[in-house]
Parts: sequence; C-alpha cells; structure tokens
Amino acid sequence: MSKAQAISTDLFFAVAVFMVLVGGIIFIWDFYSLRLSEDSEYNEMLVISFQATDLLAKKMLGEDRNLSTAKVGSFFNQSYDEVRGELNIRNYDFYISLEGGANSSGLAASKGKKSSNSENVISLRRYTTYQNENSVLSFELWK
Amino acid sequence: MKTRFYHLNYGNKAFFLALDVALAVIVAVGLLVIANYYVGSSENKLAELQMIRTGSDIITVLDNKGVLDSLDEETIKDELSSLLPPYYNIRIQLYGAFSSETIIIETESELAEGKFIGSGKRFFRANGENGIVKYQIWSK
Repeated sequence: MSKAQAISTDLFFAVAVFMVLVGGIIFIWDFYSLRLSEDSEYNEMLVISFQATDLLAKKMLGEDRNLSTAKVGSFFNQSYDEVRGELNIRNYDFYISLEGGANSSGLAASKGKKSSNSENVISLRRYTTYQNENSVLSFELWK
Repeated sequence: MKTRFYHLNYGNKAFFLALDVALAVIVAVGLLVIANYYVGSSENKLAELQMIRTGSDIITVLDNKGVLDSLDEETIKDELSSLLPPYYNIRIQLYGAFSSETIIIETESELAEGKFIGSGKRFFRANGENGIVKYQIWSK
C-alpha cells in the first residue's frame, strides 16, 4: 500500500469515527437535556403538590382536629381560579376531592378538572377525619 | 509495539492516541451511565414520599381520634385496618412511661426485604404519661 493510500484510508476512517462520535454526542446531549428538563418539571410539580396538600389540610382543619364542615363548604364553593391562586399552583391544572364523612361514604366534595391523559400527573392522598369519620382528601396536579 | 506500520512519520504515536481516545470514551460512557442512574432514580420519589405521608397521616388520625390512648391492640388494629390502603403493610410500636412493654401492632409480621420502608415517630399521651409511637410502612 502506498503512503498516499494509507493516509487517505486513515483520513476516511478518522472522519467516519468523528462523525459517529459527533452524532452520538448530539443525540446524548439532546436526550439528557430533555430528560433533565422533564425531571425538573416533575420535581417542581411534586413540591407544589406536597405544599398544596399540606395547605389544604391546614386550611380546612377545625378546632376539634376534624376537617371543619363550614371550612370545607366555603373552600369548595370558590371558583377554580380562586383555588388555584390560593394554593399557588401556578399554571398547572388540578382536581381535588374529599371522600368520606358522616353523610356519605363516597364523594363528599370536589373541585377542578380531572386529567385526560396519564402523563405529567401527580396524585397525592391525605388521610384525615371529616364529621368524625375517616376520610380521604385526594389531590391531582397535572399539565 | 516497536514495529512501524506503513513506515509513516507518526511512528506508533497513533496507537497511543487511539488508546487515549478509547480510555476517554470508556470514562465518558461510565459517567453517562452514572448520570442516567441518578436521573432515573427520581421516578420512585413520589411513591416513597406518599408512603411516608400516608403513615404519618394514619398515626395522626389514630392519635386525634383517641385510639392510641386506649393502648388496646384490638381497638388500634381495627381502626388501622379501616384506614390503611390495601396496598400497604404497616407496623406500629407504642412505648413510653405508661407501660414497661412495647405494644406492637402489625399487618404483616415480617418487614419487607429489599423494598423501601418509610418510617416516622410521633409523641402522644396515654394514661397521663408521655409515649412514642413509631411506624414503619411498606408496600405489599
């Protein structure tokens, strides 16, 4: 093999390896950027959800450590945007429901819109007492 | 290694350069695998946090309803079974000045191996004495 042939073969090989590496780096960069961005959003939603459920439970708690019927009524009578502002859940959507209580073992109150798809949804449940009965306060945050 | 291929001016430098590249690629891939592990591990965060929160809520409800004060295993177990979601197991230990023995209430006698176990403590009062309730919760 002549020197020129060897050099051009080497060049082609080097260019091919370089292209593959650059392609790989671009793919990995893109993949991780997307993944980190999704992860960051997920973490933000998680923090908002935990803060919102804490706030919800505290807001509706009565003096007897039950959820207060009056406070529950007044909270669920607010508009969607008022609740969103009160819980500081930014541009995300939500669905809140309260199950249990003395009058019904099913749904006692609800507010918001349920998510239509299963992606980007954080669902949390808080166990509490309402009208002296065990109850579950569910919170769903979605985008 | 002393053989010179094609009698080029570069000698065997190319071999060491290629070795250097291979080593760098291995290190880079290793870092990516580690990064992937940490980025991927956040997926279970919600389930684990939710589990701890559920345990804490259940103990709070038991305390607020005065069930813990009874110190009666059957009463606590009955209330616990109505509160606990079906996909969890829980173990509760009550101890304090009110009794020389630790009261244990559990839905499963053996702790899960290789699974995440959420735990926490809460202070309460029974028979005019301070007590501690410790819970451990895990998925079935």
